[in-house]
Amino acid sequence: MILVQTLVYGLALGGVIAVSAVGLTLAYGVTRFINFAFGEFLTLGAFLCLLFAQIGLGLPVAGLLAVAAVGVIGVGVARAFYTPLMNRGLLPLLVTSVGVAFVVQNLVRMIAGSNPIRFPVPLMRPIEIGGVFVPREQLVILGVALAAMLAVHLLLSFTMLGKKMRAVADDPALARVSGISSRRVLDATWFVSALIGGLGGILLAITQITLAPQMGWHFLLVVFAAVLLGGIGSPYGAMIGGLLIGLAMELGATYVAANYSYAFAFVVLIAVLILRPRGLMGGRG
Amino acid sequence: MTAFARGAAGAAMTAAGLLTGGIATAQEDPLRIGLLLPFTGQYAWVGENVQPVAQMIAEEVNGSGGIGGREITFVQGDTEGVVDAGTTAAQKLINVDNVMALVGPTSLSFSGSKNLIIDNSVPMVTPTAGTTELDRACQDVCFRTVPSDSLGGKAIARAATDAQYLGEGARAWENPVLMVAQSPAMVSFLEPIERSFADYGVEIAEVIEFTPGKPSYRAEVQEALAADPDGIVLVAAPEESARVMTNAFQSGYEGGWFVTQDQTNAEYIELAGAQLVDGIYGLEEVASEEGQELNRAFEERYQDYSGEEVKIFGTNTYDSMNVIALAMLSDHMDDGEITRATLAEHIRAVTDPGEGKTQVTSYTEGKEALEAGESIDYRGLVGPIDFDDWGNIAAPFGIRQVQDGAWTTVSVIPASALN
Amino acid sequence: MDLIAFATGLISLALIYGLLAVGLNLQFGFAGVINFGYVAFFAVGAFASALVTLPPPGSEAYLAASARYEIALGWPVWSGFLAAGLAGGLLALFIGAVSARLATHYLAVATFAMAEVVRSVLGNETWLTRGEFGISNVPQPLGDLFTPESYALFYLALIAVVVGVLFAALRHLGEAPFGRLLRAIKDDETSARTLGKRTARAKLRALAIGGAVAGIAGALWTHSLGVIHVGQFVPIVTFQVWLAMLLGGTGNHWGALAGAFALIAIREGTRFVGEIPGLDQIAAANPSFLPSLRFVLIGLLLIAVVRFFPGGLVPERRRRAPAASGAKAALPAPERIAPAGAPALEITDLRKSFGGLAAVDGASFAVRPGSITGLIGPNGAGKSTVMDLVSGVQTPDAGAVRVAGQEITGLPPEAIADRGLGRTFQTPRLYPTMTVWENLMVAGMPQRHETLRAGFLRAAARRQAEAEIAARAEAVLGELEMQSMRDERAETLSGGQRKLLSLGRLMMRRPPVMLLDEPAAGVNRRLATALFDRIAELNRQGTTFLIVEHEMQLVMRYCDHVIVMHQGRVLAEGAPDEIRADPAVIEAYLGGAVA
Repeated sequence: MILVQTLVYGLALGGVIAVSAVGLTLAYGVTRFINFAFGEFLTLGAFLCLLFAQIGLGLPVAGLLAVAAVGVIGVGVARAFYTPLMNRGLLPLLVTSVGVAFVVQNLVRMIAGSNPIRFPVPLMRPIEIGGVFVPREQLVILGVALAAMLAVHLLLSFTMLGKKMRAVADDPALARVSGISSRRVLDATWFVSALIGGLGGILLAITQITLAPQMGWHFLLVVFAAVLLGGIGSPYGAMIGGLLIGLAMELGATYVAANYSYAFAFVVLIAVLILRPRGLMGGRG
Repeated sequence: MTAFARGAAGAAMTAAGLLTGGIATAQEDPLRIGLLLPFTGQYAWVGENVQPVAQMIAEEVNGSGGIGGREITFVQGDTEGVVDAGTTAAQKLINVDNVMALVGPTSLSFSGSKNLIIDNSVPMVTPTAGTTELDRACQDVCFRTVPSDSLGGKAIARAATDAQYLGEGARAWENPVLMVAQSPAMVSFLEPIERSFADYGVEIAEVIEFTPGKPSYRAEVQEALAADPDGIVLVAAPEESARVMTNAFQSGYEGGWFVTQDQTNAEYIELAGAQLVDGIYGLEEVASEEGQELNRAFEERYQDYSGEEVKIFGTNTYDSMNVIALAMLSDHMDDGEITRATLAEHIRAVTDPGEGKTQVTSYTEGKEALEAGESIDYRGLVGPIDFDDWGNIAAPFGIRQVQDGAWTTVSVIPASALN
Repeated sequence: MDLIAFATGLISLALIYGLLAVGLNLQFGFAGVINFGYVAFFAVGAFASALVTLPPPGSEAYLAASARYEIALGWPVWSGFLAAGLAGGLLALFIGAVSARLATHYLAVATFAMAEVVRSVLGNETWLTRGEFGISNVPQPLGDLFTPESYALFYLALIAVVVGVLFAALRHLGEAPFGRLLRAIKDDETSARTLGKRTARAKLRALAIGGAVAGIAGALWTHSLGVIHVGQFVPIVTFQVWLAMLLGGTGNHWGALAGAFALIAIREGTRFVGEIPGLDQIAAANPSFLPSLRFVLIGLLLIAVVRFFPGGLVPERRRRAPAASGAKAALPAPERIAPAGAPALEITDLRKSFGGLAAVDGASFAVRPGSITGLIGPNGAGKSTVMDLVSGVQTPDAGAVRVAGQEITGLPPEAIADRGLGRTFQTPRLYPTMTVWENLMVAGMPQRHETLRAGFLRAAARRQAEAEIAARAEAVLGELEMQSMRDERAETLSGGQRKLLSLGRLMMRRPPVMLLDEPAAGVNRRLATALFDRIAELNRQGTTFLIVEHEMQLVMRYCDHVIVMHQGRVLAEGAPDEIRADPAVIEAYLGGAVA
């Protein structure tokens, strides 16, 4: 029973991680670098959603506006800071993204202050199914997460943009030769990646109830773990990786020790990577 | 010139340019007080909560003509919640900004700045470091206006195990669980609470230490609930406390809660939501069994000043700043000069109890008494503020409970009951 | 105001970060290991030194300090520094061994995760570290002899001496054959392995040294502060060290050290942001404003430095080979492969598929010792894959490879290289950031001179070897007519020059069997002929060749045996004339074009 309960909790946490991981990994597929400022998209999503909710919009509307806004910000950040460095290799981009993370996180703190703020979701008692508690907002989170992942799947499989994104991810040079405008695909990818990040941030806010300027930066670590576990650049791998990391964290807290729950998730990650150096779904190098 | 020399020279010039900026302003007249606190990073809320209260007192001082005509100003020393940044921040405050006294540091930053503070004899009056690690850490210059966690822990155990402190119709806890966040400011509650419960004859069913900063604590809460507790003592920062309590609510928990003085403020009710915290117990340092009206008056005054509720460390900061300001005034009236070395002595002079001393509860009261030639004993919001040899305070505790969306005092534990 | 004390503190910190950056530079700037868990070595070093030197529980000093830790040895401070280096180095060996198979991002995040696990252990195992309480009164060496003010200056001097000695040692190591090997590995590890380099071992050594250096930095740090607390060892420290290294410029130790000073200047200089006039009003109303603004500035500075100083503040200097002594060593004769009767190289029923597509589909052939054997076939026939399978760059699905009768199937590239097989790649895999001369030196240097021990001890033997290999490099440069390009970076060479240089690297080693993948492609005709003359000359001296080549005239003129591959199999083989006449070959490949 405890095991079932832990699995239920792990799945919901995993859903939040999975959504965020898909956003991160999509951008990686096209740009080939891990964006350390991705956590700030989560933070922005949560804070913008709160802002829109505070001026009187309902949460769903506020959420939609917020993720769209984060998508646009994502394109702006990429054009201003990343695109000029695209041909300079991995490290300049990594460092620049750390710089961007510093800037965004602290701009948020300047405006919103440092004290945690409550995210306006109602407090609800759980549904009880056969002695297992299922928190209601977890159902919402799981539902939204599944819908988001389905949307990503449809985007990649059935739309022209998705096909172009995969083509650029597989072979940028070849895609260029075939007449795919890599600039437009790049913009679209950043938009989608940041948008999903914003959505992940809202789900994270629902999960953790409170908002703080460093929330995304802190969460980034588990998102990285999920992306790597699934195989970097692979959206489906990221989904699986996210769920597994969520489960590992909750199982670790229950069966190993609460104060080692992060450590346990990382040990799982390291063990998987030792067995499969390119992650579960064999991502790109 | 080698490439390295060029780089080093560049760095030195940058530093020098910045330093001269520092010198120019440091030679001005104001009395500088350093806020050695985290303003960024995970604990950024600490600095954000302390500074406005300190400023409110500074305005009171400056509005009444300052101290010998000199105004009090603040310099931020951002410790970033990291040890080495705490050290460099303290170095700047002490060596460059020449601060007279420090408000702060937190438990974590104390480890990196302790030697600097002692070697330079900079009086520190910290409102934020309750850690038991400071119980016997430094004499002469270290003071704190927050009781040691060993006292707070004892008060929680005393109240939870004795129905007379829990208000009408309440029952004493028989099967409590203790949940503690693993951060420097929190873990020092662990041992005192555990030991005190045992002293009062109740075994803690389960002790759970958890990692701060996790998005949810469902597994931890599940573990706590597995022990079927009638009450949970929760020691964590506001953010994690709200998360743990929400997750417990979502898991169907209906038992009692006890939080530390850090959460016993209106701000926490707002953060966690009134529905969630209804009926929980909290702790408050009070000056005396009757002295709570001072705390209520402060709450009103602060709200008028800032438009916000009193937040965590608000009352402690109020006392810390009053002590520093009164000591400065006393020092100035003594010989017209204020130095770090003499300031520490005057901190004792204005707080130690004694025959014939006038008891004061604010800077303005104290100023009047001092100017009338009396000697004073400052009594604060968090207790009588009588420092022991190691700069610790002892205080009675008010036990408070959230009723109808506001904290209400249900009992007071006299200091004598905690021996 | 005490600016000397302030400056002393910051310079001490900058030197400690400088030491960290130099250690990381050895791991990344030289060996190319992306280690995002660097802070872990710093942490274990600090704890090791503190616990070794703190007064043991029960001792007089312990009681006087009312300490509460449970384990300490009370040894002298110098032993703490040794313990710190040892702890950092051992942890690095462990992490390196565990993560040996990981690359780039995977390695980055795995090391990051390991550092978090280490921090978690240090924070939770309170019996060892006192967790979130930390431990005070960590001994300060010779602390009794100084006043607090003068002690900081003394300690700065101590730091400067320790950092100076380690810096000099690491710099020396960077210039030694060991450092050259590391840079080769960073540039192209596979290519280094096909030259017989045991790259995994060299990388592990670099990791361990970097770890030990970080450990010693940890000891310096904890003794300067007099306390130890797990809260110091957060991931942001790793980032800061990376920034220091990148700010300064990777690959050179002066850059890393300068970068640390730049980092501290930026980090601490921005604390004065409040002095900007006009900001104090906003700051009073919003306590978070100035501290946040400070980090916004730090972020923007990072972005700007990366954008506008691509090579860092102290770009790597152009390397120059030592002046040629004029001595040209005769190139060594290739070792003979025993036993004489067996084929030099033999493959039997070799198979390899990629995702269901059979690139090599049961190919078998033998190369006679002392021959120049041509391997031809249309594009996609599987020639390059055969080369990869034979040289160990890829592992065959089935079949066997024998060199001089000994089976080498599935061995790693460096082991196969040791059996006397050298190869070039179709697209030359040189070490692009290294000079022509360095490319040759790496190839020629025997492994026994590329060890750490050889870096510091046995200086005479190393110098002699260096001179000997340099003379050989001179000879090779002469033969390839590339003397004028000696100090050019390999990445600046033309396609043909790259082909020449990759042959030159093999000439430095002189393996008995050389596999050349399209040595003349992209080389002008005169040079191509010269190149094949050179091959013929080497062949006369005893080297066996297997050459993939498209240029039929060269094949027909120089090869004494030709193997034709088609669709992953051997279609035909024989003397050039027979092949030219074979109707099946003409049909499949030549298409009748050669009359």
